[in-house]
Amino acid sequence: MKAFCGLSDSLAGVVENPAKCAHCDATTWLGNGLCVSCLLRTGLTPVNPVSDTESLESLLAAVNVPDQKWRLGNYEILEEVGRGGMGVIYRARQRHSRRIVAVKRVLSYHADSRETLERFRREAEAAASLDHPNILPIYEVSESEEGLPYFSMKFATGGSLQGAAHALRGDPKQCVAIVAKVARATAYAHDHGILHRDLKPGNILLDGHAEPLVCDFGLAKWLDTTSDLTRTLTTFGTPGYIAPEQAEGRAADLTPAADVYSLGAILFDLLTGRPPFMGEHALSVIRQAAENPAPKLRSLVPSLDRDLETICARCLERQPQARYHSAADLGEDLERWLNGRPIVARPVFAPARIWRWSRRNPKLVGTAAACLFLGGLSIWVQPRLTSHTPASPKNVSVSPETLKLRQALIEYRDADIEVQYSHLGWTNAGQASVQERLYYTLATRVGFDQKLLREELPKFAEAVKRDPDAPLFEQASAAYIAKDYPEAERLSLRAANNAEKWATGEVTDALNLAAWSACRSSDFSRAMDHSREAEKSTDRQHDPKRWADIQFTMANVFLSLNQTPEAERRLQEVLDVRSRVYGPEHRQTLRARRRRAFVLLVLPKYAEAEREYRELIRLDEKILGPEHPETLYSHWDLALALSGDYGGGDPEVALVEMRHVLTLREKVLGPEHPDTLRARGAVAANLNNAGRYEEGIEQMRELLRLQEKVLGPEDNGTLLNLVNLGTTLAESGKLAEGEATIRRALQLREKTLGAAHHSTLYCREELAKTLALQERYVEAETEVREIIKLKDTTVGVERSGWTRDLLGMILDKQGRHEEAETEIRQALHMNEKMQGPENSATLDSRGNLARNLCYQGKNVEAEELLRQSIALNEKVLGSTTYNLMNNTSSPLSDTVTPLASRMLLANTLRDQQKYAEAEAEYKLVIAVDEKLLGSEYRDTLDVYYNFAYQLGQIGRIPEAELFAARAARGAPKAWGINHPKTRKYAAFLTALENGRKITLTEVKFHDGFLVKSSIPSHPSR
Amino acid sequence: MMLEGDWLKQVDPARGRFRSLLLKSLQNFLNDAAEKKHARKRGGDVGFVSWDDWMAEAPSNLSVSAETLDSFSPERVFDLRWAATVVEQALRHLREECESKGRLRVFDAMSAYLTAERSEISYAKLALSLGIAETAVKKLLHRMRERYRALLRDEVAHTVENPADIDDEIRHLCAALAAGAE
Repeated sequence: MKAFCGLSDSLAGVVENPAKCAHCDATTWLGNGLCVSCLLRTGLTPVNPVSDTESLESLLAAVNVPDQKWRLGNYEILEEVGRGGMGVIYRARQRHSRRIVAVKRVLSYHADSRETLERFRREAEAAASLDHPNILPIYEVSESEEGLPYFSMKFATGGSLQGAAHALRGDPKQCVAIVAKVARATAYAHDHGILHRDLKPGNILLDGHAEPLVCDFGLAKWLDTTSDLTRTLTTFGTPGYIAPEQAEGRAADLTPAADVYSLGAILFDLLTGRPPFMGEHALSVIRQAAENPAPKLRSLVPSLDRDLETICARCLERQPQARYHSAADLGEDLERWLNGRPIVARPVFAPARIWRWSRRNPKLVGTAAACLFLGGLSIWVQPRLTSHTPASPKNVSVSPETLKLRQALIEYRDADIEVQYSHLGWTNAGQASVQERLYYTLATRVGFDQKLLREELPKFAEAVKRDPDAPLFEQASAAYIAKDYPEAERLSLRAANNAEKWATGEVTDALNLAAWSACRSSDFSRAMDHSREAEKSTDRQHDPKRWADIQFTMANVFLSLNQTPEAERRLQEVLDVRSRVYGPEHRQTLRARRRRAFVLLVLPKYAEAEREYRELIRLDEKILGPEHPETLYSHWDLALALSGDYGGGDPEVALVEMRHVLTLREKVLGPEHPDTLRARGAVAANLNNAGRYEEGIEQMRELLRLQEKVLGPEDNGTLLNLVNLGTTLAESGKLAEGEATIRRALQLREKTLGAAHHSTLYCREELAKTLALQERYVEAETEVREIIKLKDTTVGVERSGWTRDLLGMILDKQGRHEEAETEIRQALHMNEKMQGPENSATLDSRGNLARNLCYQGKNVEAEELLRQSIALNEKVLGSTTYNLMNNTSSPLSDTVTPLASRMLLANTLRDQQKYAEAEAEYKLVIAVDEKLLGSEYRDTLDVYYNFAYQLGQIGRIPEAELFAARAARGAPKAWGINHPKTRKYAAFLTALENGRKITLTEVKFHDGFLVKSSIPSHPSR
Repeated sequence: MMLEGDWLKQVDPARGRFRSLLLKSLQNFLNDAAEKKHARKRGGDVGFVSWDDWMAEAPSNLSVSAETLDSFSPERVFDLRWAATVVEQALRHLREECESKGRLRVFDAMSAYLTAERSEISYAKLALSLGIAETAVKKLLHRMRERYRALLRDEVAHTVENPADIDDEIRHLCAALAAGAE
């Protein structure tokens, strides 16, 4: 246990008047009191060959001096736990009691190492006089039979901070809490005149409750005495943690500031994973510390709070006078940070009081605001304040902080939207990280400290809300901050009504806020009403910025209402206007661009979306730099755009993008950071998309473990991963485990979000699919009908297209094709209307309907629909139509892929006896399937069978046997030995081999999806 | 590693006079370092010598007289460090041998007397603290000294080309240390 060895890695000591060796006059000693010269000289005596029986080894074995369970004074020594240059530490039991203690004793026996002994005694003496909950208590100081000192102390079971550092890294609060306690303990020692002089993670032990205990006051110096002894000790301490003045050996100059430096270095290390200075050897470290300022905390971990950076920097000042005056000051500031109060470097103020005050001094505030606020805000604030509050005669200046808070109050909604609707990844983000990011955005924008803003803004909002005289718009903003969206909507509508007629901008802003408030309560039709009102009150020519703002809102409402093409059209206009009025690299312009890229993806226009996302990466890299968190999000956007989450792309390319994000985040943010977790989730998803289930499931399980630890088991992100894990398990054939996992997620979702929440319903859909896959169609159908009922009452009758599709598929599987047709037609109709004809959900519906018609033998209609479908697929997906991603059908979702559509077309042609056309289609599909999916993939086997069936029908028996054999041989592996298809394909092959002619009248349709009439009857005619 | 360049490759595995080569590299380094040596009267300059990677195995608590450091040439300081490292390595091996037999306590008690004169040793006290007979203590100490000697010579042998040079190397180092007593 290196933790105890406070001195083992300390620098060599230089003493002013070392004793001379009695034998050789040399003055160079080892720490254990041996003369180096004498130790060398004994080597000159010739070595005698030793007989085996007399060897040291055999002698050692013969004597009974065990290393365990021996007695030292009052203690039974149990084992050695640490060893340093001058001491050894044991775990021991106090005799006549069960108390386990640590015993430290000196290893120096030489008479001339008086100084070492003295130092050791002093350590015990200094430490024993200290009584503080965070200082390792010394129980007893004593001497052994040989007259050598030892002392017993509390045995710390939690190891050292050095060992715990890695686990603490993701938790800045915990790190700060520990260092705050250590700082308090150090302050206490300073008050008792003792400097530690070697504070470092290895010298801070942890008890069973992870409470820090400072140990090894071996270098402590009595502040109020200048004994000879202390003067002789110069360079002690550990490079990386000792203050520059200490490294330079100015022992006499040392003050508590040296310990403050070490405390700062410890905090720095805990937060970033490394001490402030690193080098190839001790000298280089010391030199750097003496010559360079410490690196900024956030240059290593950008996500850390700015106040922590300030605190560390203050501790690590090269000039002792520039640091915190005392360890107590540092401890206090750390506690302030922990309690969310402003740290001392920052002005402290009370928002509520200032709110009151500034309300009474509106003129001043308004004037100051006009000077300070940017853009439209100054226009807004001033008239509102003047119109609602009486002027005050007092002439007082207003603090810039108040103005910034007010700006933050008003801009909160905009930042909220920016965070909620910018990057794709945020759709899956946990609430905590959304909040963090929101405040980061807001703080950056108004030029305020993030941590402080997060604490102060809600208080400020609360004060505004409670104040009946506060302007309505600000009251509405305050309600929005408090997440009271109905109230925010109500107040902003009132603000719009009360606004002066001439103040059209005010009306627009208020209506815009009302619209977003409605969006946040998921009432999109109301949101649409408000934004249409707002649109009327704004003029594109006259106020292009506001006009673009409201168009942006409308685009998002359209998107929420699944009217994606309209959303895209509006965003294009927003983009045009903003590029013109703000410039192409302005964040407002970029936001519109990002949103539009997303809409392109939803439409889907993959190629365009991919191009846009690549362009956004380029812009971010240019504006923000390649490792900036926002840039990483843009990489993520591209990866998601390419991956199965949103649509069409090469999974390997997506995987490369996502791994890039994961690696950078692990490096920059650490493995447990929520953003890193999400990146891991995405890597897992991409692995699954690429069919690498084993690796994917492994990543998901690891992610789940980390999420449960970091985010908690009921977090939104954790549950999303849980349900995805269930789905993946089911898809990879582990059906029972998959179902159980999904049910667990569903249960938690119902508990945390309620039964009608769309996330809960999504879980239920996944459950229904898993049930269907297990051929438990009745249960699956019950689930889906329940979901539709809930959706009809929550999101509206027209928005359950996808779920009705699912119902249709389940009915089809039960052979209830006519009922299925009704449902699927309804789904197609809804999707066409709500999503547009080219939306992927609409394409899916069309494919499903075609398949259903095939089942029913309605070949003419099916053919027409399939030809439409194929054309639309090729138009929408373009070059990716027949790629791997778009053609691997999950057994769970069971959609009709583009290639499957072509096979269905061949079937309908065949069943209409258009054999030549059919054969051409079959051959094409077989060629692509074999190349893309391989000759053992489910879809390939289906097309083998269907082609064989045609060949059999037209009497080309040897060829038919060839393809039938391929289908029959592959089936057991693809579906399992007992699957109806396996039986069907085997039976078909047998029939062919028995020389029976296949006729059209006997079997109508055999694409193999439905196996109602599982085995084809074998004609004997 | 502060000693740069690929000199290490040239010397290993041929070994040769390893210490001399290291010293050469060190001299070059010291010339650079000299410029940066500001107002640091003592202490600091010895620190870096002891902290090179090649010595890190034997973290030392070497105590050196400040006078010695002031008066010594860098080469001699280096020899001093080198000597300490050699003996510490030998001691470490000896300790490990005892530890592997579950007799670390024997090492802890006796290693202090490896170089002591017979008259300086209280066999009775040692026997008392270890709980064994005085005769056993005598025997053990004798064997321990012999073993230490063998280990030390092994250690030095690693740094010289020819086993015949071992004694010369030890004498050289002793001389360097002895001069420090002036």
